[in-house]
Amino acid sequence: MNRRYRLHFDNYAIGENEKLYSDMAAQGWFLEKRGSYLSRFRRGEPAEMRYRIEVSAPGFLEETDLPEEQVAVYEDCGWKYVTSSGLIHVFSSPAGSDAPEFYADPAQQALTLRALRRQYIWAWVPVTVMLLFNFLMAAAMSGGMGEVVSKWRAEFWLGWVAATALFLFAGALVVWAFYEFVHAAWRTGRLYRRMKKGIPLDHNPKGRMLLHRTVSGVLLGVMAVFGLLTFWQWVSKDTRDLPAAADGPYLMLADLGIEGERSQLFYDDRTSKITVERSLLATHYDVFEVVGEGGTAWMYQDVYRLSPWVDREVFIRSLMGDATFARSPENFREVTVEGLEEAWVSGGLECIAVKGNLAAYVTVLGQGQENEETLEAALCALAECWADEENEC
Amino acid sequence: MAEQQPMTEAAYYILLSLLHPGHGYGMMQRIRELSRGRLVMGPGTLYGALSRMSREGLITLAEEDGRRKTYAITDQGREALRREYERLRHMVEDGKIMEEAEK
Repeated sequence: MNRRYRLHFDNYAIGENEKLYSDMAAQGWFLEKRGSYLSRFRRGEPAEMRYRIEVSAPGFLEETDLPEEQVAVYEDCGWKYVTSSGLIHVFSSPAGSDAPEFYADPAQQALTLRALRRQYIWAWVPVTVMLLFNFLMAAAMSGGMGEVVSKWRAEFWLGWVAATALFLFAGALVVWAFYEFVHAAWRTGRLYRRMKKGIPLDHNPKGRMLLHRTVSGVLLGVMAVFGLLTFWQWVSKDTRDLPAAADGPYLMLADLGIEGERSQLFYDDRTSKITVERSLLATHYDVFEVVGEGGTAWMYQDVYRLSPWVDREVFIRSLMGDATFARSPENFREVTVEGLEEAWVSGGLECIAVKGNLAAYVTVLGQGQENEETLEAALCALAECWADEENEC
Repeated sequence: MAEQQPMTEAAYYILLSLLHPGHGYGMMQRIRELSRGRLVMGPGTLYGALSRMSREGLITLAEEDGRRKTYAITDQGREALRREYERLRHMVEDGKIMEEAEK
């Protein structure tokens, strides 16, 4: 093993990185390449070395490389160029050499941090612009910002219930990225101000940024846990052909008196399928059934078995907000169905039923009968099927 | 406060050292000699000053050999150096009253 990799400090931690490289050289590991997160070391005879980092300060969209001439001047003075990564350029020199420090005046060195500072401050701009663009496009297409906000809120809550681990993973990722960015911007700014005041850069800092690394590590750990959980839930997601008789708290078209051969939709190749997926907050049955020649009758169901942690009112409103045709809670009308705690219908196409820890959103298109009746039949059938203890329809 | 910004020490010595054209490392050694070891200029400081001063037209590229560049002072640079020298000389002369006061 003549090579070794190590996580290095972030770019703003100039002194910490310099010390890391010196410490490694003292143990016989010499810096060979610095990447975004890892540094590569090559084995050699242990030696006392000084490492110094020069930060290039290119203008907006200019190359991050140091000008060749600058490198030549540094090398003439006894500094050997080692490697670069973005704005960071590393030089080394044996500890006893008379190679002078790059800057005698910290205030002058502070100026080299300008591009680094700008990089951290502007890092969030592309993401924000993209989100804003996304939002405005959605608003333009659906006719209003309020509508987009409520739609997004509905999608958010449904996603939170149906894919809790993924949301926690994404949440930890956002918090981690935000924390890293704020911390980096703050540290760079602080270093800049101190050097501007004439306080020299500490090339041999005592602290190893333990607090920061702990916070960052915990957030990454949370991400890893929920990332793995998400992966496991995704792998164990069960998609199969819809059985002839329901094996869960969902309906069959036959329960509504709609009979026919299983078929497929005429406008795409969807056939009758069921997907069962578990999240930390719910078990979700995603059911689609289609019968008759050319798919003349079909039913789509989202049935959730919710954990007690889910706020039911918010969840129902989210189901309404995300409804394919109604698109908003205002378009649902409450109805009374014996055996259900809450029942709602909209436009003769969609209905929502709630009882205990079960909630269902159903879209159904029957054949030959008024759809209001079909919806009523669906709600009654759900009430009946949820009445027995097994909840199997 | 309406005074003209005085030249930085680094710029003053770089102009002095470039009365004979020179390149980076040679200039640093020459500056150390000129200041009798008082001013040890880092390569970062030197490089920063060189690029700024050549933008300002005080120095110019005299020769380019691979990645090593030789700089020379311009007429404008010579003029600025002369003015700064006069300014400093006046300041030192004016400061002589201090010696008289201490007699």
